[in-house]
Amino acid sequence: MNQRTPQDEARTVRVPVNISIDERYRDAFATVVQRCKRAGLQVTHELRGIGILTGLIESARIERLERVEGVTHVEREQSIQIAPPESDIQ
Amino acid sequence: MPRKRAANGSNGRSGQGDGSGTPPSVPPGSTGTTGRYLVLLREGGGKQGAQALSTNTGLRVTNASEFEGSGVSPEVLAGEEAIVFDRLGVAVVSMLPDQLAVLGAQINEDGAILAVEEERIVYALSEDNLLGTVPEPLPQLLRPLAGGAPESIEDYLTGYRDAVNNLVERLISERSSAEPAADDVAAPRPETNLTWGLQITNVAASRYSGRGVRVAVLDTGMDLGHPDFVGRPIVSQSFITGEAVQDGHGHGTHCIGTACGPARPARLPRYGIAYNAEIFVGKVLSNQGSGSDGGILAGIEWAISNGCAVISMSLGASAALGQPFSRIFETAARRALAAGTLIIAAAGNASRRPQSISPVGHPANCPSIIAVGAVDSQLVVAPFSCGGLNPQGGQVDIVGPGVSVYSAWPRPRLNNTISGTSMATPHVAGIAALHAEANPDMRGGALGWLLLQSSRRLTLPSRDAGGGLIQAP
Repeated sequence: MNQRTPQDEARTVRVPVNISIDERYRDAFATVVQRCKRAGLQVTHELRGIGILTGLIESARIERLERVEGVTHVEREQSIQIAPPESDIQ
Repeated sequence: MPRKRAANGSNGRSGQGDGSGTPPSVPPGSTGTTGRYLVLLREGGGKQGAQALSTNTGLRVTNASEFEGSGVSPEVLAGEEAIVFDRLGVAVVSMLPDQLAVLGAQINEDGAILAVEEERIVYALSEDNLLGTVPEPLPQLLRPLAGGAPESIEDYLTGYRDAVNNLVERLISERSSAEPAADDVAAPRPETNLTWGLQITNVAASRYSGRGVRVAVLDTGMDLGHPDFVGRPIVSQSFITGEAVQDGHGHGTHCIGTACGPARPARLPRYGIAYNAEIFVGKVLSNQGSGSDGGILAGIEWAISNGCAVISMSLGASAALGQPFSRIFETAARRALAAGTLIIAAAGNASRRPQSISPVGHPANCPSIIAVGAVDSQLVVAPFSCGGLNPQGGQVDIVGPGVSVYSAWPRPRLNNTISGTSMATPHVAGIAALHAEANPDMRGGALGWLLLQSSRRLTLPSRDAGGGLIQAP
């Protein structure tokens, strides 16, 4: 009987990623988006103007996403946090 | 009437002129002119300049364009009485003193002849002739019928000595005033009419207001009902799910205040720079001050598609030493530049100087994003300001006022004074809008170049201050 390890669980957690589309594929943006979806990406933003795609994907599938034709970089998203309003330094 | 061509070496100050037309070889370390003159012709004046030259001097004028392909060789240059480099609007001319006098009388900023200078001899710089060499005086611009003897070597050296003494005195007084006060706050300048930040960046003296320029501020939104912005055209968009643009934090309102606040706020001092810029508010940080790359990228795209010349981002995440910059944000920033949008971001507040300096954070550490550090009113680097420690990207490009910055705040408070590279950033963004208005043909990277080129150079390490202090046009 298959037991899922904590590692298995971690690899299926969806993480937010940002993807840059190769300059040569910017006219085929929609096609690259479709390919990323087939690779498991759940799209959040399609930013045609800057040739960037954002979405969620299982961390185990990131490597596959990186190999999609038309994709140059895949990065895990960073989160931003500024100081609270009452701080002297913001 | 045929004129005799002047032999080189006729001005008596050059070396062994051999009269053959080649510049004499003068040993390194000595001053030298060739005996010829450079004549500046009106741009776009076409044939008029060459004509004026010929008419006034009687010389035969040749155009460099006749030698297109091979270019003007030294032999040609030596052999022609006057040769005009038409793409440059400059002529190299051999003239006798009386020809020079006639030409000099024609110099007029509205005419075809703009200026005349002696042709200098220049040398490759090497360690030998750089150290211990008397600096050459600048070539003299001949003014029509001007009096006054040319500057002597003694005049030049005296001036140099005085400048050095002045600099040393200034540095000594800056160092003593840089001692932190007991409560660690830099002594503010009087802020009756203008905040110290607007004073030190020369904003009030500028005749520009950002008219016709769109500025996007990606932050916690804005207090859209703030009395200082009533009637001001504002376009806004929230990129935070479940939250409206209305600023529930304060940070966004403060930054927009600095970048685009009114010329005549309800209460003095004036705190805002581009008072006629069109404001684009992108809420990419929640009312709790948090956000993510995705929302920020969406905000960047929105600003570009709305034709914003400037994006101000007083936000970021800490970067570790050795951490590379985001290729995604670098790509986005490059594409923004190509679209005519310049992104300006805060360098980060993670330093605790003098004990520690932290590297410039994400995304300001991208090479194609202008990273802004903070200085106080005494032009000392703010203790929290990040430094350019990471060798790949990660440099501070410019600094702005970032300590005890007074600006707008959401109602009912209306105003607040806080510090941060977040406050320095909208100073640069607002001033960028002024430069953009002053230079409608410069956008994207060209606009960024203008900011750096016109900055006030400081004596601070470039690791901390980049190219210096932002200055209004």
